[in-house]
Amino acid sequence: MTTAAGTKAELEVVGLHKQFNGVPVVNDVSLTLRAGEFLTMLGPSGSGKTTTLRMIAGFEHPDRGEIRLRGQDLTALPVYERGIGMVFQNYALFPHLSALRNIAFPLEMRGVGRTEARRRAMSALEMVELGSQAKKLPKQLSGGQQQRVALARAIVFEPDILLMDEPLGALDKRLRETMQLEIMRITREVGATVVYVTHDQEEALVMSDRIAIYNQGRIEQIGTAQDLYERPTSLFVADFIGESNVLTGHAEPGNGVVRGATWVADVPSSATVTGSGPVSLVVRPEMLRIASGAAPEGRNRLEGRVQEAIYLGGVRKYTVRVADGSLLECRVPRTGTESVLDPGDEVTLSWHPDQVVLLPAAERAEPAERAEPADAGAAA
Amino acid sequence: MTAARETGARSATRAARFAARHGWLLVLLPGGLFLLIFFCYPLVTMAVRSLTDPGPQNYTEVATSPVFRQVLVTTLKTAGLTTLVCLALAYPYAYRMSRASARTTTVMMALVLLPFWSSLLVRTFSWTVLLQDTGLINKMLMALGVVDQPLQLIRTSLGVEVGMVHILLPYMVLPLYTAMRRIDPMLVPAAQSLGARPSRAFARVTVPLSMPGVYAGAVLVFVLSLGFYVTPSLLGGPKNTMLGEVIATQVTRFGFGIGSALGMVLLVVTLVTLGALTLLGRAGSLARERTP
Repeated sequence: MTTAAGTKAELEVVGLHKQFNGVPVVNDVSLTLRAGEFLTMLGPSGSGKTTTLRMIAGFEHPDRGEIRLRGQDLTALPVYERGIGMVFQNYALFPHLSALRNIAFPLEMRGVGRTEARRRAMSALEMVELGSQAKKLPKQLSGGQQQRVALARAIVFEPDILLMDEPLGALDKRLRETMQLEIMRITREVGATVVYVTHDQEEALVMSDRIAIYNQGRIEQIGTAQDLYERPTSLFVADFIGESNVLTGHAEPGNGVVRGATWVADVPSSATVTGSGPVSLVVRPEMLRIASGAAPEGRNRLEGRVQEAIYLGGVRKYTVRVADGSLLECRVPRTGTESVLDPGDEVTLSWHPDQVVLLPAAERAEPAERAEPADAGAAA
Repeated sequence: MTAARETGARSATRAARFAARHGWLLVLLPGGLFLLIFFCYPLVTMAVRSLTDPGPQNYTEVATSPVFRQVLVTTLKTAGLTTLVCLALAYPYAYRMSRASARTTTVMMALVLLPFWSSLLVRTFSWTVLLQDTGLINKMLMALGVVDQPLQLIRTSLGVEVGMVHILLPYMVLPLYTAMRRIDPMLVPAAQSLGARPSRAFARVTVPLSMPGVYAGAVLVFVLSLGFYVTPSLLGGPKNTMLGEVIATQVTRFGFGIGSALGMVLLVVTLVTLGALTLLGRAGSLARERTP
């Protein structure tokens, strides 16, 4: 299954379904990967992302659906014939083999001669900058080094697809950040097509070409980080990626406005919501302008009182309690001329109508993160 | 006065500190005393008597007698064969048990431990009931017309093996199971994702990682087999006589001299085997670590 560089594969997942003990864990998941693309599956634990990954790898068999690698259906192939590289959450390095022999393992399994296997394993080891650690056993290596060995082992046989299941979960924050960049460098260097699973949204934003947001076994939205942050199509995505203020009101399409209890807002020009009914306005904290004092009547503004003012270095974070009692968050970058507010100050929050997102409000009723179907997906 | 009190207090704290740091030694005392009185003392006595009762010629007799040499060979052979049979039977069982659900594991563990709940003597006697010429197995075979004469099952090495394997199997299963449980269950899937068929994943990952259990189990079963006495004497014939039986005969009929010498020989053989197996195991894991 080894492919020459340049003719890298394209992965297609079509209508994937999987249940565990009658509980749907993956529900009609479809996605397509371009060759060389880095796709991250992001979602709360138990949302089905790991199960999708395990079905692509061949560890789980889908109840329905197809997985195609460059047009060839993989569904019936056993794990060891798929030629897919995988990096496991706890690395799964062979404790009785040295770093070098761990990396040579997939080559030996493919009948590559001993000397050639060692040579290629050594160059993979050098690529992950561990050339000097070849003879060490996994337990003699640090967590980050083990992670690198696992990565080298998964790419040394030039697989069509590289799957990574929360590979940085066990590392501390600083090392995780270094490894994120390292993984990006290495996967780009070998031109690998990557499917990456994580529940860390920052990691997803840093690393991915595209992100698939999972929720309760479905892909809620798939797109670039910018798409997801600036144009979320559901409250779940708006909540999951970054922070957001959600205002609920009623759409009045006739007047082109949304009316809340204490405010009136213009319908953003990008809005796809038509018809009247309950809606949510999503405003990112950095898009809220804050000014001291009460403002004259008008649209796209709210009055409130500063509840909390936090200095974060580059940014000041204000929590403002508005008239209907809810708390909104506002981030003001340090420019040298920004006004400094204190708790108790009366303020006006305002926004530009094109910098908010209008979404149907209905789904707020079931907060997705809490209503997950047990932990079946995470356990699998 | 005050000075004396101070020194008193100081030595008291020193004693307290000593107790805190080395107090755990006290808990070793009962066990240590027990071993000293009931193990070390008899062992030394035996060593002394083997040389003095009537003299060191005990060893010359042991070394030159063809009977004793034959018995030693039989003992080693029987122990070796028992170890291999136990390993062959226990390995798949322990593997299955290490990969089973919690409930199945409990049931399988109970089945392994079941024999421990009845006496060795009772189990050996039940084997004589089963294996003898007029025993259950022969009666059944003859009733079914498979054979017209009873098979010689008892007083053969087969009988001895059946009895010994039955008794020693748990000692092989338990260390194997412990070693296999320690193997990260993700390793075999990982090997498969790297292109290993299930059989190769087993050979390249599971087998080498279960070797500590194989060594532990093999040592345990082999060493216990060397000292077996009741089972070979009840289920075996004269050809299957093992060292334990000879020692018993010597001691009861002729006194302690030669018996003690034989005992010392058995002890040395056991220690040498243990040492050799340990070196072998260490060399094996070293070789694995050294190969880059």
